[in-house]
Amino acid sequence: MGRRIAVGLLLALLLVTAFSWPASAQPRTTLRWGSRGGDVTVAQRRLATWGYYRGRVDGIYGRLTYGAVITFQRRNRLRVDGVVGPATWSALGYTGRAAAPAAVRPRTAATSRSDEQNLLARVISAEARGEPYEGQVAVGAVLLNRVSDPRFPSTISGVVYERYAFEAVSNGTIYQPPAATAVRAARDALNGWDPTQGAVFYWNPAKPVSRWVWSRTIHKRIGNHVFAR
Amino acid sequence: MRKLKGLGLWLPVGAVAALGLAVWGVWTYRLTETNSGYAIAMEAQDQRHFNDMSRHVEQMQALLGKALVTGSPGQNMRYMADVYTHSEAAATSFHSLPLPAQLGAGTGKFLRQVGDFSASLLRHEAAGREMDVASRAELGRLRTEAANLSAQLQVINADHNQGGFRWNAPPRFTWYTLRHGYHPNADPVTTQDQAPANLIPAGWDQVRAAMDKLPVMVYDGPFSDHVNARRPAMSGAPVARPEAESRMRAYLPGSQGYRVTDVAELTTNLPAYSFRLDPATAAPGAARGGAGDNPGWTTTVDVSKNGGFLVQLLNSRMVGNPTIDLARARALGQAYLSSVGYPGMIAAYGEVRDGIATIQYAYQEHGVLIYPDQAKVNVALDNGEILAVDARQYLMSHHPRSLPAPQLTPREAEDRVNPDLAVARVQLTLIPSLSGADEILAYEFLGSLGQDAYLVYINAESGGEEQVLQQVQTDGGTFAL
Repeated sequence: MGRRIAVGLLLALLLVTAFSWPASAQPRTTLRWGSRGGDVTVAQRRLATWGYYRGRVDGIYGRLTYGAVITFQRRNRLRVDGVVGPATWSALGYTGRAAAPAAVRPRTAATSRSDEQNLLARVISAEARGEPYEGQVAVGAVLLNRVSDPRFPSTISGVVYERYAFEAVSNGTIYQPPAATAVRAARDALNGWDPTQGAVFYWNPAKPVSRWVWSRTIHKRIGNHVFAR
Repeated sequence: MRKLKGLGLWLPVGAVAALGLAVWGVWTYRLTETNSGYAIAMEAQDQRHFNDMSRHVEQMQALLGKALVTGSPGQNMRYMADVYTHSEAAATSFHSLPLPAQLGAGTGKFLRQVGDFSASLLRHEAAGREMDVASRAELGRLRTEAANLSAQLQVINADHNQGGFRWNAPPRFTWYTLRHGYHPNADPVTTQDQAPANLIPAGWDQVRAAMDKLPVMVYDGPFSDHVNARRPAMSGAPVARPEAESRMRAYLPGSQGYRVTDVAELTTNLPAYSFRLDPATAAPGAARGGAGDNPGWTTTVDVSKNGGFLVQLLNSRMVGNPTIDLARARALGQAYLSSVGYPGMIAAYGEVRDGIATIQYAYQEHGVLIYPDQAKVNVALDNGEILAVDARQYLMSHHPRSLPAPQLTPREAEDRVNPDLAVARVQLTLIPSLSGADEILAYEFLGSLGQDAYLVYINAESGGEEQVLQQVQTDGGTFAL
């Protein structure tokens, strides 16, 4: 717990310090056929992840993008005009401000964070499917608590793929796409939520487990899992 | 005649059966061949990781010895950096081995702590402080332990070379494997399966026994054992469960719409009641154990047993299309924190994902942003509801402080910043030390170098540079590395 808090404080510093609502905040530009640039890329990427857009993410508003926007607007009961204005932007999940320089900046850091989130979401989805939301966040928190515990590997992938560590890795269910709630649970866990307050083990007491595991200090029971450190 | 007729019937059946048996036999042979191929490949992987680990531990031992001998601080810093590199590499190799947590915990911790301790000595020396007698003695002890571990690893390696054990083995035909199957990737700790447990070499038990006996290490680093014993700074009179429940009702927005289904107790150093609630409109039990992907919408509220403070809130309602923006969400979160007894919180960071704004707040006192006292809030952008709160760090560290006066003016501190950084803003802050045990008064400079934005922290008393963070812009907001 204490160590978790100490490392938490570090994370606090790491996260909290990211400051400044971008001072040069400006609304997203309105996009129509023929538009080009970073905002088109942003819209294409979002439409592609949601399955509306099948073309290349190239920052050019062409025929395929138009088709995707039309379908998106129709399904979301927006005005079907093929113009990405404030209403369509907000339905796409982009409210208000655009981080204009972000589109041209190298995106490696943000990408690696979203990779970690995806890996975490897949483990949560496979290990805690059908558990209450609190239990799903808790499984994510256990993985992250292990990362900051010297007894375990120091990266998320190291913790996930450690031999014998997770059933989902042993039986291959980790490679299935994650459920929507698991994605959200992974994000909350990465942002620091931890319903277990520092647990590093969990198990299902209905299944046979060794006496050693029961010797751990139990923090809490959530759904079908017991969490301990 | 009749005999021939019978033969005429059975001959093709027998031939087909024989052919089938032959095909099955050959296929089984091929499968066995492939399986043993995999086992050999995995054996090579594991043995490679094991040998890498042995080599790194040997190097740690040698470098710790040199660090004790050298009389030059510059040379010593080099050795400390090398010890850190080798101990991290040893830990990485070690965690790649097929050992259950039960056997590996002590060894993994030892390796990481040696590295962490060396890094903390390196930081001290880089700041111009010489290594003291106690640290020297500790280095000597660590060297002895590393040498012991190294010797034990050599024994295990010799055992492997003589064929005494294998990390992996193809399944053997026994009554046990016939009845129970063979699970080389199952954890012997959690499944009680005897088959893989037999693969673990006996030498590891001795390593574990030695490692579990090591004394605790206290030093200025994140893995130091003393940070384990921290108590929450915000405490109060013990609160009974009915009182905690009425407080919970006050903390939970729209609490009349919920029904308590379960209460759990958290037994940690921040003990709490954990209330599970379902929306009152849902059928009883519908929210839990529900089908498949979406187990429904539940809410959990943790209220601390000592003082009855709000510790954590987690609501899993799916949100609709956004109607409010981040600035509005910031204000809502701030007002909420103030209403549940955490006033004076300033929004420091925010990110929007899938219609939810995650905002981090830090306490502000006399214009100083106190980062250790932080709380996080998730705001639903469809109706402004508070979906989640995490106040653990605030509860752990918030206490009345007498803030020291800065010895440097902002301008003097800015002179210490790398002149290549174009400074845009300065703010006086209190930041946690690397171990989280101490707090440092520092000027925070937001600046940019090329395309990237950075935050630089200059100690407001000594003028030393404490920390550099990179600020990353994502589609939904900013976060720091």
